[in-house]
Amino acid sequence: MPSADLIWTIVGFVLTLLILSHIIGDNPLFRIVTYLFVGVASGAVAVIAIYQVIWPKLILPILRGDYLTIIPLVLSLLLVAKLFPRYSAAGNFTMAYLVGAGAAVAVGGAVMGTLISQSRALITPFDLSSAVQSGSPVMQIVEGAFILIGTLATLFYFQFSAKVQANQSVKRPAFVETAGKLGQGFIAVTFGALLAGVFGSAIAALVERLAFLLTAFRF
Amino acid sequence: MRNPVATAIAIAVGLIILIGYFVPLGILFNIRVYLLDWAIGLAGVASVVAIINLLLVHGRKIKDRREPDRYSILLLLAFAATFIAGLVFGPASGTFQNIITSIQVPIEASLMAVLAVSLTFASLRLFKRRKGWMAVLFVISTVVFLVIGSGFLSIGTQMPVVRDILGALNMLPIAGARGILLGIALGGLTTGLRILMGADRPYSG
Amino acid sequence: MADIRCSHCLTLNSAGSETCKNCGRPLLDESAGWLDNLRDGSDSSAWSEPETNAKAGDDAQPAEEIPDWLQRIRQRSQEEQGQPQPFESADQAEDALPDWLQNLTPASSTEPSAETEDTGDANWLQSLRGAEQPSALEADAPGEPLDAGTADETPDWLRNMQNWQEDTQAQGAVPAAEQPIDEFAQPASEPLASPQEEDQDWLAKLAAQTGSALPVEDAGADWLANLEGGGESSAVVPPIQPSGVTDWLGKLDEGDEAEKEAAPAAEPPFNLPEETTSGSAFSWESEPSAAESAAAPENESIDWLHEFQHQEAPAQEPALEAQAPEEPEPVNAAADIPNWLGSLATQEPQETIPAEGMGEPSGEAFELPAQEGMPDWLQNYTPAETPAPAEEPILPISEEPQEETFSWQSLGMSAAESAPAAEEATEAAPFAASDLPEWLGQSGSSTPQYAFDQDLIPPAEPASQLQPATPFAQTGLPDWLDESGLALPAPEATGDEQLTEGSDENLEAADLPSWLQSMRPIEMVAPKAVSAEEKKTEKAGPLAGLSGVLPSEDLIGQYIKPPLYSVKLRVSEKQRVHASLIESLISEESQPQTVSAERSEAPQRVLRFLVAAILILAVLLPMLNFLPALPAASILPQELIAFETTLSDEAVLPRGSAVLLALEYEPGLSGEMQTASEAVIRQLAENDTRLTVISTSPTGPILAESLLAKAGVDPAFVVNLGYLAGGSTGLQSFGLAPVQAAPATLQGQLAPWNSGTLAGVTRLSDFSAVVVLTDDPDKGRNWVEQVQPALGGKPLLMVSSAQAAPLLLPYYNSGQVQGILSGITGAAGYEALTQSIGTASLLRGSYQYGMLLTALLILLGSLITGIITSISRSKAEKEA
Repeated sequence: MPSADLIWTIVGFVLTLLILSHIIGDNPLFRIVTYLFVGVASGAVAVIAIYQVIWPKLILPILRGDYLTIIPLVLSLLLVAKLFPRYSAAGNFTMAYLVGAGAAVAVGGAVMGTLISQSRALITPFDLSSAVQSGSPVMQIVEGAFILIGTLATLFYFQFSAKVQANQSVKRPAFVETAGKLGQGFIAVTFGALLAGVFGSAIAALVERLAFLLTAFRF
Repeated sequence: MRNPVATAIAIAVGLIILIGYFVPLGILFNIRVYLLDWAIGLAGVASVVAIINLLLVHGRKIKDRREPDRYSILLLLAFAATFIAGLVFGPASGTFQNIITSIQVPIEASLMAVLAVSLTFASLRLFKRRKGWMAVLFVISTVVFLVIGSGFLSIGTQMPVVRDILGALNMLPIAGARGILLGIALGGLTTGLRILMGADRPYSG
Repeated sequence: MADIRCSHCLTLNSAGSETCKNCGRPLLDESAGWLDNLRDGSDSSAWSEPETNAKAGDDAQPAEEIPDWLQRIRQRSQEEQGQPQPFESADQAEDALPDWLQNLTPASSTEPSAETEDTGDANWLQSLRGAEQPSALEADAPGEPLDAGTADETPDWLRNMQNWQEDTQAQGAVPAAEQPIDEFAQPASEPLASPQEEDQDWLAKLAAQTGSALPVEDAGADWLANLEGGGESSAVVPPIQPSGVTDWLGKLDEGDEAEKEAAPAAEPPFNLPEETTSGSAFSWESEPSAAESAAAPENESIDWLHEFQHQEAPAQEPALEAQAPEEPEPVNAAADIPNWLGSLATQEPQETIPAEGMGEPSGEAFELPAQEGMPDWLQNYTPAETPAPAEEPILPISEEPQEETFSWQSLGMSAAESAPAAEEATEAAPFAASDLPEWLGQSGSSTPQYAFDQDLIPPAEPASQLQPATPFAQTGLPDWLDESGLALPAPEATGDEQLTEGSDENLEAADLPSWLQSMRPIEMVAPKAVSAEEKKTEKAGPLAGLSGVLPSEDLIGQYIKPPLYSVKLRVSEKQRVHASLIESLISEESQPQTVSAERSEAPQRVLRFLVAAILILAVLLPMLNFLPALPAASILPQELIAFETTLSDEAVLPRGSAVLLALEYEPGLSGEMQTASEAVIRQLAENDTRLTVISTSPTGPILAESLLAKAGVDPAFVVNLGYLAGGSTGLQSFGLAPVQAAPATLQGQLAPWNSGTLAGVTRLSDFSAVVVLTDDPDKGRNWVEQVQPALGGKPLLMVSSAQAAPLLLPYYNSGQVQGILSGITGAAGYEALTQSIGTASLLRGSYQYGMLLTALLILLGSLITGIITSISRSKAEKEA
């Protein structure tokens, strides 16, 4: 009797081949597998959400006497009304709660986590004390300048405020236009690096799948 | 369709959480914890509601007379099987994990593998669509970082020039990335503030 | 057999009926008979059904044309008496005896029928008298003797009168009041005596009814004889021999000369009922039957009657002329006009007769001027009140006199109107002394006394065109003689100037009742000048002879050309430009666009397959050791070195410390991530690190289990906190209160916070390090933004995929992340640093070849595409 592992391995193997068949072209088997994937994925998410969120956070506290949990429970029931178009307006309160909380978290994280830190990182290379400790202060400063210029140029590239010129043409200021051009270069390089990284991940996935296919039945 | 009560809820919850970032008050801290904790539960319920909606959509597709989607039956069957197995066996059970690891993982991984081929094939005709110095720089950057990422340049060489060059090349995307990150942060900040001010109401209808 | 029209109500009755179905009176078959004979050759539509005035106008004939019926009458009279055609010209008409007188001979009666004649004559007399005024019969005895004209031309009525006269003689003088009117309607069985005897009879009857000792026979015979005594005229009334009648007639003769110039209004020999004057069904009035019905005088002619003979009879005009209030026939003063007639002629022709109420008494009482020789009955006669005179003369319908058969419609009266009028007229007994009929009251007025629409009445002929006046035809004549349309010559009373004046030009307005006057349109009342168009006479077509007709021919020629409006649009220059723009756009739409031929997908599929094959080979060959693996990289990124340094620093991660492991990657990149993180997990496991696994991805906990199992980590040292929902919100909550944020494990048990694997851990800062395994830069950013501030300086390390590394490096550069291990290359380098051999080292070759091949393909493809593009562009430029 084949073990369960073998069966699951075979299942994985077959599914892998069916998906890789898309290299040749779209086919019904590929579509079947994709629909299967969506169904399995949605089922898994539903199970995990019930087991990991709804039960321990909404139902279990009430059973334990934490009646303050009724508030999120009521909000959750209102959220279910979103499934019915006639009563979907009732779920707006829950959505507003989630949106408000998410906006606040995003604002706080953007400010405390990125803006301040990254801005500090822009000027840190110019700290001569730290530059001396690095062993190559010039390179540090040069790198710092390079990064600073690149960062600012990138930000200037996304600056689209312009003025109406005398000849009725809309143009950005010359400094902004020049910095934008420079930032365009930095963005191109960055996107190239990103694409290379995507290639790397995809190739890594290909390598892993081929390795799976090669080693699946090597017990 | 405006809902002043919903707007008030969004603003109130957001301000309490945001102020807690900067004002270390005990009561404010506790309120933040409860608000955030309730948000976790509501987020879980939202994911379940989204899945139910997905199932309803596919159910309508099956019943549609004009363009019935027969594949949706497979989706519903797969969901049912996975859901029942998960409810019965539990998410920590081997069966449920095998379902995830043997079905979902191979499928998604295979899809990523196919993406590699598709990306490569699409990149061959890059210059056919994109023209100009920006496109050239992009292609060159891609190639360079592909080579760098492959580790070919760092093979068995101890030349400082190569190291400096590689160091310099690794620095190139940082500037742009930082600029992108700052831009994302600034955009998130602006959007969040608009929501907290009530200017944007994505939750109304 | 033709239908019979009732002489009273003008109702058509079926042939053979003896009584009228409407009024119940006996039908005047005889009279209808001889009328029908007259009508045979003419258009009988006038009698068959009501006609409009137009039709009446249509039927109008020019003055010069003699209607057929008149011609027939003349012919008969000629045949009977051998006289020439009378009244073919006005001059002849003036000289000749009026037709009605000429034809007043028993022999002239057409289709004599003893029975019908009796009933016919009796009926007309009844209609003349009126049923309710039997006294009139007494007062006004039918004294006028019929002129004994040609016997064969005696009209039926006259014959009937004679019969009646005879009957009355036989019966004795019977008061007229006692005598019912029906006496006139003697049964047809009574044999018709000779015309003369008949005349005498009816006259006698009349005299008896009136109560006066009228020598009916004599009177009837006398006046009749006088009428016939002209000799020329064949229309001679058969003599009637009532004694009483002849006396007064004789007296009248004596007074004729004296009263000749007085032009008295003609007084009828008998009190005819009012309705007769209105044109009732009495045929004798409507038809120019006077010319034919005049009985041959049997008795000696009365002088005044002789005078009438000498007078030119009015033109033999159709009855329509007479009925129209046209210019009255010239009243030629008859030399022998009796006084009573002359007195009647002097009456004010101002009296009109109401349309329906012929019996309506007028306010004026007619008083006959005292005349010598006037019979007593006539002298005592006080006519009924005549209606109020009309305010304006009756305007003619058309210029041409109507010579066709008389039609009540031409008078503006319908048969229905005339019927009640006839009925009312019958109410008034003829010859009633108390109530003088209107015709008598209106004597002197040759204008019709009907209150009909003046416009419908054709204009009267000028006096010169009229036939010579005959007795009883002018204003001095009784109305019933005038209104019948008879072309009776005006009486030759020279003194009848008033008649002469009023007859031709100054038409006396009919005396309309007040109610009718109020109905009259203003246009009818207000005098309006006759425009030239109105005077214009239609000469062709169905409306020939009528005046005032819309000139169709002229209208056609007079049509006004409609104004031409320019259809050209006024377009400004700007609009022209816009229009041209739109036109060009539309024309472009219609122009066929060249469709580029679709390229075959076969080359693309082949190329795709080729690329896939190359990649797969590049990956498989090193894996199968067909290609030598490339040497490991000697130059490692700084972040990798920092990662390894941090992770291997026991100061940072002492043995048995708690490390939070966050699985933030998807199943799609689980291969790379597992490959990249396997070495790290192994190292942590070798360091007896207590791993706490958590994930913000639903499948993260499951993948973590697989990773840990593959890495060989002891599950006892692992706490899988499961799924953390909410994304950044959950991380914020986890960062603030991890115990509250993750209360349970993946197994569904309560998380052992501060115990067991999580001993001493209640906050994130209690963890020694946080290692985030992510393939998404956003998730990594979330961890950096939300959790890193809560770590309290603890290192945050990241194992990322190759695609997330570029965007996570700034965080490393900023010091927020202490180390980053990215991709298989990084894992291989990590393995080299830790001098371990893992999957990464095995797969590094395939990965490198894959990456290099990809780079090569991209480079070659770009070059080839660029070259091809440049060549094509240069070709296009050369061609251009």
